[in-house]
Amino acid sequence: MEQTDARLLARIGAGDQTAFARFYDRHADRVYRYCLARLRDPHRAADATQETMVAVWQGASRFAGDGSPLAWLFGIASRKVQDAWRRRGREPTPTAEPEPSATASPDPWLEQAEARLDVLEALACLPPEQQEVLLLTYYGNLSVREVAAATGVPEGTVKSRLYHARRALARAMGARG
Amino acid sequence: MRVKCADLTDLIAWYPTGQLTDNQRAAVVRHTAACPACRAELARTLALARAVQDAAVRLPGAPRDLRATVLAAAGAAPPRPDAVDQSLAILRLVLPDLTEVLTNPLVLLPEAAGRWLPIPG
Repeated sequence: MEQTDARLLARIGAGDQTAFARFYDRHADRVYRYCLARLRDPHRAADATQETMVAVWQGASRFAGDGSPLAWLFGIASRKVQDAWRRRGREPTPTAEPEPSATASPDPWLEQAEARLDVLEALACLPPEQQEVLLLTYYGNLSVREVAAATGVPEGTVKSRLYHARRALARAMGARG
Repeated sequence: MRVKCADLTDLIAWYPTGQLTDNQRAAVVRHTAACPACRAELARTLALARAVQDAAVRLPGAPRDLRATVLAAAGAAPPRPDAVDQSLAILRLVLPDLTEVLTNPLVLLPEAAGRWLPIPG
């Protein structure tokens, strides 16, 4: 029988490496894609994913069983993304154009699909908190409450951020279309 | 009860996630069937949500060698117990069995044994 994420986290908290491997297999791709969409760099996304998963291993006993495992997981991933930006020495700044690093040394994932690139580039034009709320909501499929838990802001702020983020992304995509 | 367009704003925003209750979804369906403006807003929201999801889902998954790295890192460092667990672990090291302390506090002061008399009940 498939174990719930909450049950796996309880076992991980008790030091069960088999449960951790299962949790990794279930969520690593999801976490990596989230980090990649935010950081737009495969190596830094891999580092952030690794840090996220190790934090899950080390902190699973702190997961509150009545919370949402996905919100908890994405919350850790979001903080690791912020750490990655901080290590780079600056916060991501919304830009009207793609970042120079993306155009100077394109990675295969950036070149594969024009449509995908358009959306990701448009996303990169938005402030970090708007990128975050759009990805957590429409990629992570988190509820208002879960996004609030993952980001540590009130539900009202989440609603407001998503409202403005949807409009900003639509404008950015329209400008590139 | 007639639902106002403003009441639908957040429900429409989260409609694509599948996280609404049955009643909330029904309210969106009923309202958008009769309101062209909200129907258009719902269509725009669904398209935008699909675009974000497709873009992210089509990204490659985690590198294959990452799994071994992460599992090795986990094997090298045991999970950290939470703060309460840590406090209890420390208490267990310095105190006799907690149950025994509760039932017989004199275990904390063995030198007082025999000198203190129990309070008559």
